[in-house]
Amino acid sequence: MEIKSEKKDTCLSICVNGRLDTLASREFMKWTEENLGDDITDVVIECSDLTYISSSGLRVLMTIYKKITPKHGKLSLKDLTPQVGEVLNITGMASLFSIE
Amino acid sequence: MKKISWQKIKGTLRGLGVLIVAALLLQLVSGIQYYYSKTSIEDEARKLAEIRLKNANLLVEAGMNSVEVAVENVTNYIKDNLDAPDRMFDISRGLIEVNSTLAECGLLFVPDYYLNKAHSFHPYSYRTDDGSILTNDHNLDGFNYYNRPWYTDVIEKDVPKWTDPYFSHIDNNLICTYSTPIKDKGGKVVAVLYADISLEWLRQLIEEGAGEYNNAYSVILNKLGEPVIDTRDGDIPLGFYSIEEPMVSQERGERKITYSDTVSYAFYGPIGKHGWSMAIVCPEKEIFADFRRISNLLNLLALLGLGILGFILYQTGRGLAKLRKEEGIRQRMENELNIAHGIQMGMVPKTFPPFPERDDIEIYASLDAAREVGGDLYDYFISNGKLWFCIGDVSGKGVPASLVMAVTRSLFRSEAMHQNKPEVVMKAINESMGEMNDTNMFVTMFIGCLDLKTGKLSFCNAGHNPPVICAEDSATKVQLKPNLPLSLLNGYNYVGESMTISDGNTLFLYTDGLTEAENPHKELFGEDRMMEVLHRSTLPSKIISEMSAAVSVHTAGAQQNDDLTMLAIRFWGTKTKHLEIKNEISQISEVPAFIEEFCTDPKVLSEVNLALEEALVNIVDYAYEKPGEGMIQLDASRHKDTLKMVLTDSGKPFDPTATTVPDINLPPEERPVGGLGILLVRKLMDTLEYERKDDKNILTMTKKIA
Repeated sequence: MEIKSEKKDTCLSICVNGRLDTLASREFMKWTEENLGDDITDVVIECSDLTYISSSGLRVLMTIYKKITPKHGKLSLKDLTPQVGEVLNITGMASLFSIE
Repeated sequence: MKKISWQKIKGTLRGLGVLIVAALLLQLVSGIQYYYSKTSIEDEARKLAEIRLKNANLLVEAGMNSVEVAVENVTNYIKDNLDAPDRMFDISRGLIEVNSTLAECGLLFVPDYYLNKAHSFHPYSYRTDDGSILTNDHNLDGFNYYNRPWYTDVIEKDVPKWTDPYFSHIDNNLICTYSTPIKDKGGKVVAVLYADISLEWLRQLIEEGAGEYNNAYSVILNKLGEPVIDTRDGDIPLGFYSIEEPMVSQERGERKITYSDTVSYAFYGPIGKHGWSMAIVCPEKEIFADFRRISNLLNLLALLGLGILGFILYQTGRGLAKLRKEEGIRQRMENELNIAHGIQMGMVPKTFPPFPERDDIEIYASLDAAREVGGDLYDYFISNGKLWFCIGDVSGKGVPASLVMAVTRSLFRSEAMHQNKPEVVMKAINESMGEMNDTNMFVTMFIGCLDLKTGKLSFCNAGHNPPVICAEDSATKVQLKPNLPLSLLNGYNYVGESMTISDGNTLFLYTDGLTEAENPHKELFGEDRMMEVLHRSTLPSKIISEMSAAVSVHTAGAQQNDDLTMLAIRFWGTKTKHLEIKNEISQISEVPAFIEEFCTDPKVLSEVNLALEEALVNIVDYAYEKPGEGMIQLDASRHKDTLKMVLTDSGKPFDPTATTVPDINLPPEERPVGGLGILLVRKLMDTLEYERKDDKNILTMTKKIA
């Protein structure tokens, strides 16, 4: 897994590449805790190269979601691969996030 | 045998029956014909006799009348010329001249009527044999007529009179004399004028009348019943006199008379006006002589006809028996062919699925012979973990091809059992069969040997149609090296090849009866139609049923002209894999490589990967107290199209299937962060089962991967 990010005002754009399995999710969770400051209200995750996501990965997304939602922020997922999109659908997560 | 001889007897009896009926019919017809013919012949004879009798009567009457009239006509002339005795000669001559029926006539004067003439004056004329007329005076002969009864009778009674016929003293001809008194002017009878009428014509007439039949005769009786004329010269049989009485009584009729065993028909009737009667007597056998001859001829012809009919019946019977025999032979051959069909069908395996206990191989086949027996074959068997199979086509059809087919199939079985290379088997079969060039027969054949562990197919093709590999979305003809068909050349070295059958792919083999199935317009089914059907499925039973249906649609009832055989084999290699990992999250990185080779579809692979990861994470998180404490066993296997994964650990009892599934319809803030893992496992896998056994947690998951 590879994470790239760019912060613009209160919006954090993240690009996650590769597989977001249980191990990678731990890394991503740690990264989130370090990079998702209190000033961030909106998060956009670029998923075009994200080929795999496990329930741990979903848990990271939920954590982000729960953190920004009280600030009336928005979590957007861009360019989902079919595999990741299916997992989001199965778990009902697709309705929580803004899928672009 | 018994049946045939009974039929023979039946046939013979039937023939005899027909013959007897025909004979009876003929007899009946000839009986009716005999009766009517006999009656009509009798009528014919009767009519003939009646005509003769009538004619004789008329002629006699007419003859006598003409004499009477002629004689009476001259009596007055004589009376007027009594004073000129010499004129009497002229008168007699004139009478003869004028009346052709008269043979002689003369005047017999009473004695001494003319004083200047002789004591008995007798002028007369007569007709000689050459037709000239001579006139003479009989007194020169000294013929004393005046005391004869026929003379005195006429003088005394003073009436004309006919004598009975008698033979003339001049020429011995049959004559009859009419005499009439001549009176002078004083009314005194002075002479008798007589005229002899020749009855030779009457004699001829009755002889003609009798001459119709052999041995027939005619008799004329006078009023005393004495024969006057007869055609037997006086030799009248005594039996004749049985009809004397009716004849004398002037009756007309017929009567059967018998004398010395001869039956005759006598027809009689009155003749003339002086009490005469004539009879015509014909022997019965002469009347019916012609009829008997014709009748005998007809009977002979009838017999001949019966003979011919009998011969025809005999020949027909023999023909029928032959037909029946041929029918029997045909039926027997049909029965034998049906049995042969059964035997042949018994040679090719026909139980499907053939290996129900195996889940790595699916086979379906069909053999449809154009006739009762055919020259196509297929076979398969499993030996030492290898599936041996073959398909073949003997050139030609029918019994000869079926015999070669049986030999080929037996050789395939016996050779393949202890060989391991198809080309070796092929060569051995070729050598065993020998060259059959004298019968112009050969066999195209494909032999394959599939290693059920590896999917490696080694094969050898002897001139047969190339098989087709059917994958999920493609159908490809196998490229083959050419080899000669079997039994063309002894010592020929067959070349083998090999390829790998991918999991779930199907090898479709067929004989040219498929691609060359013709419709009524002689269009072939062709490879294009075949490939189209093969693109639709990889399931052997479905391929063959759909192909058969497509062929039926194409041929549209046209007669099948070649054997049609199809064999479809789907291979599912059984893959198993084992992995032991430590009870650590870091171990999940082993998962992708572990399952990679079970599946080719990236989407399915990703789902399997995710489910397995989630299940492992669950075990790591909940089964063991501490990470790294124990081990987890990972077993994966694929059966046909289903992947089965079994995770075994020795941790504390933990049943993931018993955990509550999170409600994904809750508002976001109320949703639990955990529990999604087991949800994903359930959703992504087809089955999920937990078992606690031998202090171990055993979680089994399956998913259909194709």
